[in-house]
Amino acid sequence: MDDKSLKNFDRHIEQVMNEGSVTPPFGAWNRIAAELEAAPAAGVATGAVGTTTQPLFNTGAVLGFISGALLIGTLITGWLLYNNYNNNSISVTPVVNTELPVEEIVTTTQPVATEPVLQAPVEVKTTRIVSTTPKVEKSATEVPAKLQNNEVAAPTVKLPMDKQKNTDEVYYFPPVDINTGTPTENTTATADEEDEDNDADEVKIAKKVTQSSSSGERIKFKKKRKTNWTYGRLNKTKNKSKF
Amino acid sequence: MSSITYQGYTEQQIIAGCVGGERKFQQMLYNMFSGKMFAVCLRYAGEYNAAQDLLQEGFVKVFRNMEKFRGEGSFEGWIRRIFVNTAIEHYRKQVNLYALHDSEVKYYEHYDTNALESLKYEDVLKMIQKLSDGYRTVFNLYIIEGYSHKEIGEMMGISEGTSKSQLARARYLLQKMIMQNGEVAKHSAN
Repeated sequence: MDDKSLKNFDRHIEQVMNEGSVTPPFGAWNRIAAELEAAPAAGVATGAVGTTTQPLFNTGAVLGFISGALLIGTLITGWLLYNNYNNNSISVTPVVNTELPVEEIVTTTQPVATEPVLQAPVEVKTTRIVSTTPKVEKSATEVPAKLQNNEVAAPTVKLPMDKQKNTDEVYYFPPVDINTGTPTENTTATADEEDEDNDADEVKIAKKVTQSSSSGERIKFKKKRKTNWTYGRLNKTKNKSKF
Repeated sequence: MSSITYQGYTEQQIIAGCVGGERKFQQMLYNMFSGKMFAVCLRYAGEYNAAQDLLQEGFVKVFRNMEKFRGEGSFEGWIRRIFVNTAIEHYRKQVNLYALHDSEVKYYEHYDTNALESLKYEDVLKMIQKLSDGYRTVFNLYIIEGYSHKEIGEMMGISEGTSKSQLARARYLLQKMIMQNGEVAKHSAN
């Protein structure tokens, strides 16, 4: 087949096909119109969606954020409460004064030269620490090492050692003769009498010193006082099972 | 722009109405070109129902892109191009074209010219629809639409040689069908 016949074939087919016109099926326009009507409606719908202000976070994210914040707050609160509970039992470290008073005593092995010494004396300088224990100054608010839950630390005020010693001993003023102003020899006051004056209910063993033919002192113990003293009615009635 | 009138409205008025979205003018445009465009769809589609789908899709595209028509060329040619592109898009995904070797390309050298001239539109359309999608598309684009092999290759995503070989194969099959149709006509006449 030559080119001329090919072109003739193509031209004939083209003419036949271009002249052709086929009536579309009935209802084709209705389908097209329906699609055209649906498209603008969808466009309006999408436009309406587009114009609505979208929240920055959706509801799920907000709820999650709130729940997370609550959880974190609860954990922090619990941690703080736990720390407060533990702080009650933490012992207060006493203030330690590290400044040690050092007394420097210089001694020499050479005798004190009364005569002029030709050689220079060798001086050995020694240092003696007088007090090696550090002074521990406990603060007024010192509390015991550990406290229980309901215990409240009460400050322990300690008096100086000298004063404390004095308070333990009973000091008796010697009897003085008013007329002469001189102290008398008769000192018969005993500790037993003093104790009876102070605390009559307390049963004590009193020491009574009496003179005997023997040279040594004889100690006579006083019998226990038989009393019907009880701790009170209240305890009796409350703890009947114990009694 | 040609001064075609339809029901008292010029083509420009109808186009302006379609741009405005008036359903009346859209229907007028549909009535003016639906026959020709449905014929185009039938050529590209292998069956009638597929051609209806192409017609609907093509007209929706035309009405949605009406404002893009600048009036530089023929309005019918603009619509036709939209329909052809719609058909190509539809079949490009399905058609798997490949280049044919020269041994596969056969030319039917002896065909009866009288048989060709006696063919009517419906007969040729049926023959074209019998072709496979690839042959049919290349044949339509080259013979009827007038695209070059280079343009067809760009449109279909194939090489120029593939387009040529596909067209040659389509021609051969059509000539064979025409000869068979002529022989049948002769036998029926006798």
